[in-house]
Amino acid sequence: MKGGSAALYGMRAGRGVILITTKKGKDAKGVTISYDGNITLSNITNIPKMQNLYGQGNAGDEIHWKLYGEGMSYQEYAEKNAFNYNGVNTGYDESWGPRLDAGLMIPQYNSPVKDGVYQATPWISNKNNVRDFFQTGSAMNHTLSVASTSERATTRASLSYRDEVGTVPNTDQKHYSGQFNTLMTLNKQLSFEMMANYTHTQSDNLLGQGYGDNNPINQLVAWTGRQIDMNALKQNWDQKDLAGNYTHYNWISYYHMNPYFIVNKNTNSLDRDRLFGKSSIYYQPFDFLKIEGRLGFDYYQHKTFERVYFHWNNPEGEFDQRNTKNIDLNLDLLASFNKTFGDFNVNAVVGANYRDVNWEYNRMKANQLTVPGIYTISNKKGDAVTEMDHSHVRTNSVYGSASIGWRSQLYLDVSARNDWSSTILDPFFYPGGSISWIPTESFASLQNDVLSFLKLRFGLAQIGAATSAYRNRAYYYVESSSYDGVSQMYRSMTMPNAHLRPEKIVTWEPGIEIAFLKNRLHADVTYYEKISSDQIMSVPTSNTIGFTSLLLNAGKIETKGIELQLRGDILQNKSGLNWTSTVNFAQSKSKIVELAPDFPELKAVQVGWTWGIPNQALLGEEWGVLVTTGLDRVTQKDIDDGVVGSGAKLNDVKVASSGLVRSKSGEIIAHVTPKFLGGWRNDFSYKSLSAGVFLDLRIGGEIWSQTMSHSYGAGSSIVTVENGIRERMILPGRDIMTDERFVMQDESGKWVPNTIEVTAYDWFSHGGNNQMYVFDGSFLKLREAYISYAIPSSALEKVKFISKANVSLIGSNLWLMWVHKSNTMHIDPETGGVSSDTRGIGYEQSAVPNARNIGIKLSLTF
Amino acid sequence: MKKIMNRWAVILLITALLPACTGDFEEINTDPDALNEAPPTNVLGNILRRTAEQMGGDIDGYGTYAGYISKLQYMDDMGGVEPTNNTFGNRWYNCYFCNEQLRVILVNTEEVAEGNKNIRWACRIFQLYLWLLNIDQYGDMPYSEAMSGAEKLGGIYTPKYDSEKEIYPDLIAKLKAVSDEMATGFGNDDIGEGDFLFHGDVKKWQRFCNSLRLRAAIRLSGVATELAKSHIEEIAGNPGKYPLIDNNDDNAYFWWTASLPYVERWYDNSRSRDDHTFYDTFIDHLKSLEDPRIQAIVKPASGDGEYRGYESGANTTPADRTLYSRIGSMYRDDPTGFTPFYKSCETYYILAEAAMLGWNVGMTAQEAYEKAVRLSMEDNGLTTEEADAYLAGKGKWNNTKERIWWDQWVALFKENWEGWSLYRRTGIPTSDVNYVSRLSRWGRDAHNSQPFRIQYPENERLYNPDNYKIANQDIVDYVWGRQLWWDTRTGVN
Repeated sequence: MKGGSAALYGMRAGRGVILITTKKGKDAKGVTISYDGNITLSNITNIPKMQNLYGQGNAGDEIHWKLYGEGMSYQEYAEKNAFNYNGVNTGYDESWGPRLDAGLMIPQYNSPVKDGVYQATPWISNKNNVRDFFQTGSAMNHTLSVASTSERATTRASLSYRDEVGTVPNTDQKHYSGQFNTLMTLNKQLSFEMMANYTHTQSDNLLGQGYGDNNPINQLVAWTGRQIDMNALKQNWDQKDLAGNYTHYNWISYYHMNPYFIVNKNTNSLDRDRLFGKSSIYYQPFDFLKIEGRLGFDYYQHKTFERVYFHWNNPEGEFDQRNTKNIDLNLDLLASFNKTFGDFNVNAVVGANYRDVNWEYNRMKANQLTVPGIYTISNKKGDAVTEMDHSHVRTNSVYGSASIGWRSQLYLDVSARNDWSSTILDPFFYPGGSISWIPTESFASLQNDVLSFLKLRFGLAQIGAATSAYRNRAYYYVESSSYDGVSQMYRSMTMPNAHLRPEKIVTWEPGIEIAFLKNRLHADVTYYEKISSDQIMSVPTSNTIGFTSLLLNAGKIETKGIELQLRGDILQNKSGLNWTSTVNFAQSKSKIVELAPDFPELKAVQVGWTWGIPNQALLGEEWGVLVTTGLDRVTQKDIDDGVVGSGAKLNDVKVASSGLVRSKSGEIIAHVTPKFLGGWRNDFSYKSLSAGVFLDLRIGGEIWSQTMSHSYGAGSSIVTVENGIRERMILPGRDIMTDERFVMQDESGKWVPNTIEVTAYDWFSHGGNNQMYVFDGSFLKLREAYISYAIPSSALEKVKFISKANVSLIGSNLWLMWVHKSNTMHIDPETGGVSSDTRGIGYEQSAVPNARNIGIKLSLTF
Repeated sequence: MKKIMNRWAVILLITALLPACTGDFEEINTDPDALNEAPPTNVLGNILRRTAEQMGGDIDGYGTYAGYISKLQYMDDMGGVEPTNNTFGNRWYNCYFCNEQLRVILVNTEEVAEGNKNIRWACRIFQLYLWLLNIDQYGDMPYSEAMSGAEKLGGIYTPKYDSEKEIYPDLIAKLKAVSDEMATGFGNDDIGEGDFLFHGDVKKWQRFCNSLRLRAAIRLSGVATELAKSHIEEIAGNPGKYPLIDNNDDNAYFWWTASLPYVERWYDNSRSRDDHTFYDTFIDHLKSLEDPRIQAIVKPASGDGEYRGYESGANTTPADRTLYSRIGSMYRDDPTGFTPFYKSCETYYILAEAAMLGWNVGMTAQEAYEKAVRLSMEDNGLTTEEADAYLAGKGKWNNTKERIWWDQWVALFKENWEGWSLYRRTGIPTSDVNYVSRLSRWGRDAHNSQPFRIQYPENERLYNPDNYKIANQDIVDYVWGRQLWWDTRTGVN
């Protein structure tokens, strides 16, 4: 939904409104019963590309054997120096060990044990070990609904159930929901409506995300041994010794637990209840005037419970329970007016809204447990961690909007809203308006065989937004853990702001909608310019000023964009084949035109942060650049200073005398915003049969990848073995990063072409640089395809009780067809793993590979 | 018509029911989970714990720069000198965070200063400790303009960096001012439950204050000799007025608890990791001097019972990890262990050095040295006999400053940042012992000294860029180039 109705939805509309319109009862009188069901199977896809040539350990490749083997055979060297489960590099969760599938025999975690000694077994690759860990996931949905329409009442009720089994073993989620909706007309003037929707979501175990102990991706893709046999881990995760204690059978006895132990014993459960609904009484004193009194609410309670039965870093186990409760209450009184005056149709609404949002959070955590596996607070060892937090925000508003239409060809929409928020001092007002004209209605002569429809529109809207609670003064807070029973306090390091102004977003958007050839070719183009200003931001400071951040109305961001939709009914034949093709294109460019004029020293604002790499809004730059230590390159200054020798050029990468790249702080290493997004959708139908395919394209948007960073360093990425680089000394530019040129310093200190060879291990493990872990997030994806069959009513006539039936086969996230070549590990750019909001843009973190889903859907109406 | 009038009446009535607008907004926007004021002792406690956590959490940063700690895996490539906001950046932040919190306590108690003498001294002393801790790492820092972001304090958002040459004497003068005040008699207030360092013992705070002045003064002995001499002679000449930390019961040790998360930091690391051993050269030094402290500091290798360290930044990890020593139990295996801020033995190493400089400290260099060694031995749980044997043997006084410094280096173990400062000031341990990691990504021979300083954090470059640029002049590879003021070594790069 676009900007026009902002007044109705208020500041929540700041970033666009998504309206959930629930189905009301059907128009047709009588009773209908319908059933929708689907079953989907999911298999993970796009596992990052890994190497299969070298296993766990250190210094085990051919070049290290040559350099440090001291006359030993490779077998002897590998077993003695590189990896041996009897104590050689067993704490190494990296794949810099001996060559796999080269006939080596090495004692491993899954080798037979004789007198306490692991016996050598073949050192071989397990190419599919990551895939082996996952399983086929499934989801099942059933919805049964009944609807009834009578003279006075329209009612619909439904029950639904969803059962998901994850692609990671022992993960699941269930949803149960019920919905009820009724509209009752009491007499000509009075009616009421009620709607309620309840959902219960429950999971015994959700997969941990990010760089945590509970996300097994960290030990499958990054910190791993490429020889690991997943089956042995699966068979033995619950192995116990004679005393009945878990042996914690695993490929390593540090850092990582057996991934099956994690998913079976160290689980994260979830319980969530959500109830939302509304109740309205309508009073219609005149035909043209309707007054509504409405109570709307949205309540949820969310509980997560993390259990650690055992982990190497906490053998006594722990648990962490977090409860969140939120009640969003809305009271509205509104009057709608609808009347036609001659050629004019007027549709107007005025109203007042009272909104009260109460959020509550509490946490109970035991860092250690007395009895393992008993997750209740009285079983804690040491002090419990307890937290309590609240937020209360109230907003009062008055609003109005009017839509005036003239002869179905000229429309004028205006709206205005004024909000009073408890979070900031001043009330704020924001108007909006749009005008549209359909020339093809005004001048019938314009319509011909070629042009069938033309609509021009122009909108101008302003939206205001307040902020979150309690930001107007500095408080003292208490640390969540006490030290030996003594509370530890500190004063907030955010400079409060008692004079915050509301945020302001002004958008203007001209648009054109045009149709040709009897509406068979349709285009909708919107251009927009958005100026966001007075953004309420927590602006980071040099931490030396007594505050780590200032709460400011700062930032002016200019965004210009274009959205284009083209639809063509290429084939149209009621009794034959139909083909509709739709192309979407969206491009948006933003620029930081102003930061904080009151603080000219401020040149950068942090908008995100992961792994020490800030995502910044820099004055004059587009929104979202990652700034950190990048590659140190030859600069123009170097050339001017005469420190560049022959053969070296501007932008060559400097290496130190170690042969490893030099770093330079403060470099822009990535621009995170995509250049444009595109989509292409094709729908076909032939009589009762329909089918479709959707393709998605994204160009640009760079991503710093933690998976790349860690799996390069740990030697598990495919990049770390390409072109035999572990078999010999390598030279950057020749053997690796071949699209870059490298320079070193000669004896006189001048930069000259680099000749220092290094090992691949040193290059990746000790010479890594953040710039190397940035990839271009472009992709082309087969997003969805379906085929659907509506069983003809002629066939249904035989089955008396079914009036409509439809069966479909649907596939989603089917094929990542193309990624940019800088995406060396073929990571799906859409799997982020950081967070879904703007803070997470531009980062990838231990993302769990997403799934390809194929499902069957059945709809029946009785 | 009447009917229509009624309808309008209903509409009016409904409108009149609209709620009043902003009456209770003030109350709504008050955080029920936060405090408007906090007891100073609970803030002080937080600051003490945070500082111990930041400094005590380091094993292979200062520990490597000081030539103690090397690694058995994840070999050190000196990548840690690249600027971030983490690790070292957190310690920089800690300095300003804690200073600000302590400043606020002092402001809040200003009007009732007479009744809060003791806690105010504790706050001032700890502020000065934090500054000393950090100026020894960074040299120039925002100081005079720091913590002035609030409008009424000047609204300075990008404070300039003051020269360490100006900050250092100011800190010493402030330490003297506090100790002179304390010499006039303690206050009656209880520092309270948050005094995790000295548990309300004001006398210990007084000793800490004087000892810090002693430490600061000796650090300047090579560059501001007169200043150093006058302070050291003043303190040493009046032990009644300026008592020092002169016995192990008065050590400024932050003791940890048995309860997570506040277990001793090295112990906490040991719960999930086993990466650390010692510099091969450190072990060799202890062995060659037959230093009994090796029993406390170092565990023999589990494989063969030998004390053995490993090359820092070896090309490969050791084939057999069991052949290498780990950190001794009292330093790493005790959840209720300590993080040292000042060890009593340091007092006497300093006095010994001052005596060697010909300054009047009321005892000879030998007396002070031997006292220092005995205190260090005692602190490591060793017997008087063991100390005697060492002092009669390889640890025997030889009338050189180097003897003091080599011994002090061993004694400062775990207060690794102080060990590193000793190295930068004196060149002891020498570069054959305290060598730069062989795997340094800057190149094996690019630098012949451990880092001269700690890199300024990334936030400074991002949010105080102009001043940062000035402060960074002459700094090479983030931590080399310009030496700190009191680092008078020559020929190092």
